[in-house]
Amino acid sequence: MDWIQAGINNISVFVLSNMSSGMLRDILVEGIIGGVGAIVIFLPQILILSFFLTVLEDTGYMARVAFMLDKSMTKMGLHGKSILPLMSAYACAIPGIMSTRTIDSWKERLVTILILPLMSCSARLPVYTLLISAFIPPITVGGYFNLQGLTLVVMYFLGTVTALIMAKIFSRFIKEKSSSSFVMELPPYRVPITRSVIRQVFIRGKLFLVNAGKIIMAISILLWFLASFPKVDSSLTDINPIHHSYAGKIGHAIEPVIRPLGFDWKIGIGLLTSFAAREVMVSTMATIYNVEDRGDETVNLREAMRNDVDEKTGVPVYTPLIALALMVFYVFAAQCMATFAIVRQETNSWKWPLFMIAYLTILAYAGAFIVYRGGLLLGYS
Amino acid sequence: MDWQNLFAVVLGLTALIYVIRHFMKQVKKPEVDPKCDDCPVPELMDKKEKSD
Repeated sequence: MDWIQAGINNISVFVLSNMSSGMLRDILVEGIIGGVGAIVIFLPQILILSFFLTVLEDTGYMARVAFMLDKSMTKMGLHGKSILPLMSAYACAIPGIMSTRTIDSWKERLVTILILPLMSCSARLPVYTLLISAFIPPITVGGYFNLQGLTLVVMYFLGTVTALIMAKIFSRFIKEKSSSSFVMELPPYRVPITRSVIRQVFIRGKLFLVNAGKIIMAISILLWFLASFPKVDSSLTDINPIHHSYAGKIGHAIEPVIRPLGFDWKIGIGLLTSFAAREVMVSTMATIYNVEDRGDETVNLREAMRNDVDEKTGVPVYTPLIALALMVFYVFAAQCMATFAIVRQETNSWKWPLFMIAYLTILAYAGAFIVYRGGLLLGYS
Repeated sequence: MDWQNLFAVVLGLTALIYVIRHFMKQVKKPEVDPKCDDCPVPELMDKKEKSD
């Protein structure tokens, strides 16, 4: 990650030293390089995740997992075939939802669709990685486990366990007379073909960089304008001019709703832009900090968040507890427009995507509230 | 207006149009995973069988 960060810094230094000062140069450095660069840093993690998922798929192990887990899945109101969409959803919920078409029972298919967004997709990985690397200390716990790694596993585990619990609850309320049986052909175990694995990893990496990259870049540019205008003379105000910007005003308007969770206005803006894609949250924070800093180099987002203090009180804006609450919010939150659109298409109704948004939002708010307020009560900060 | 401001405004407008179109496209026609283009849809198969 450090060498990618260094590369991004070099690009911004190059632009700064070779372009005359002006609005375009500021957009390039603070908006595009700062925003998109903050996401590119996480490409290695996305590639590693894609590699292991591809290896699992190509060995034929996934089909066996479906067979082995059929009994457990049935107890939770799901189907053995639900395991394949659930595993796919660790990469992205959309192919997961599409692949539920192989489940014959409408009830089991619907329950699977409803819980799929709870599986932590790869878009959440940049958010988790940023917050963990910035706020969770790299200490060893229990003699074996690195606390940072353990926190990441807990986030994935939290989403998965909640998904299974919700499946059990939904299956009690969604009625269907017919029941389905499990028939599946098991492919032989095979050694994954290296070329196929590399191709899959390349495709997923390209999807992350190109498809997500385009919307990240567009939102970074728009956010730069929102965070830079209207121009305020910094000598006339004792707080950073960004507070008077359009982005600042929008963020401060949202703040009362999210303040009980420990979140400030910057996170509020990040939560809004996440509706385009969850990883946009990272680029949003990077763009805001770059505009706020107005320095000669692209800011290191981790450092900037760690060192951010309230201008009036001097108290740190973000703490490990707030980072934990934000991660829990992201585990549950309904923030992917594309997912709801595909649920609308697959269920042929607006009822289910709207229900999904409602229950996930309640779950996210309640989860983050419990973590933050519970943590404060226990004396954590 | 100098050239930098002009380019910046054009870039901003292009980004705005792209974001609006992105959201509209997602709501109207979500991206389809190419792997699932030919996935059997149980309800459609049932309807087809009944109509046959």
